[in-house]
Amino acid sequence: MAAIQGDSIAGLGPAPASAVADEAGLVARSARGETAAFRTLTERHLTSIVAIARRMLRDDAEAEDVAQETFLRLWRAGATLDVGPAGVKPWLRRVVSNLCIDRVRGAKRLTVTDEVPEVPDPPRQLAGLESREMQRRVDQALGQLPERQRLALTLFHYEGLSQVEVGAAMGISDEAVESLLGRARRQLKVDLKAEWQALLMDNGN
Amino acid sequence: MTTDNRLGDTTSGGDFEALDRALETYGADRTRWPLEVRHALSHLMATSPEAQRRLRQAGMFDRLLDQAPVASAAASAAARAALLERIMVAATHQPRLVHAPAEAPRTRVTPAIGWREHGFAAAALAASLVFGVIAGQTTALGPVAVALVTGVSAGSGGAEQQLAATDEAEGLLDEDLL
Repeated sequence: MAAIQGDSIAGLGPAPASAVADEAGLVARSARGETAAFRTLTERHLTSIVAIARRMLRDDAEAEDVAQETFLRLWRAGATLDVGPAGVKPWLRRVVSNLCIDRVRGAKRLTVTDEVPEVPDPPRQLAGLESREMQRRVDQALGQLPERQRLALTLFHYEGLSQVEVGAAMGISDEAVESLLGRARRQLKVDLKAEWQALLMDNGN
Repeated sequence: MTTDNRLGDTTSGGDFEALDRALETYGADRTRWPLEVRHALSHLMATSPEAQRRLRQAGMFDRLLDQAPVASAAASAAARAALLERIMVAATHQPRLVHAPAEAPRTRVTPAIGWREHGFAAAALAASLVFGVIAGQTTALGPVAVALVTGVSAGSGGAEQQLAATDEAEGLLDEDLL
């Protein structure tokens, strides 16, 4: 096994006929304990999994912890993992989604906050500061969404998943995804009304 | 609008309501809308300036959402590489379920069957040994025993026969001993 574990990624064998077959092969090889295959899978999906965790948790260190736990679960799952036709990505999304929701709920239980909702600042003249302030406001508004709404919006809007994929990742129906997305955007329109109006005026709407 | 609230189920009177719901749910990028919703609203989008205006406004809101901060590319690359190594190190120290490949079928018999066969062989061997000993003893001592038994049973009345039988038995015994 030591010799196999020392295989380089280039030594993983001939290029498979399709990405799906490749993914299934990598998962199978990872299940047999081949670290090179596991590394390839991790490299392939790490960015998107970290991105989901970052959007959800809004904290780089926490996001990395969650991403690490997600991939370690893939490693530990071994042969018990049943890879579907879409590869391992839906499974990873589901795991990271659940871990993020658990963290957010745990943080809500543990954190006592004395923050006062901020009143939007008057428009600034400096474009850079304005942009940074806009980012902060959007980030803040996203952070105030209920965790499931935030997760649905993160997966759909920021990660580009389809409605069906979001449902699969969250373990809910298409109708439930529709409802979460609608409520999330309606809430954001309320929270970001001033910014949105300013943007509309700037663009002549 | 029909009683069914699904976005795809629209009537002409509820087209704008359906459009607003689609924009609220999926945003302004119509390629992200479900196919049935896109089809249901395609005529409205193509012919209504009001629908176009609402679409532009929703597009502005999408742009606003895109303002959400993301980590810088350089920092992400460095952090990503470090995280990858961290995961690999942690993985090597993790207990896991390893898929054991199926073993090739073995040619030798299973222990249960082997023991049974060995049992038969041992029993047969023991039986033949006992049988052989008994048979041997019977062959060697049989005539003597017969003579003795005959002598005892005949009593004093058959002395010649007893002597003759004894001599014969001794002769056979001598032959056997040789």
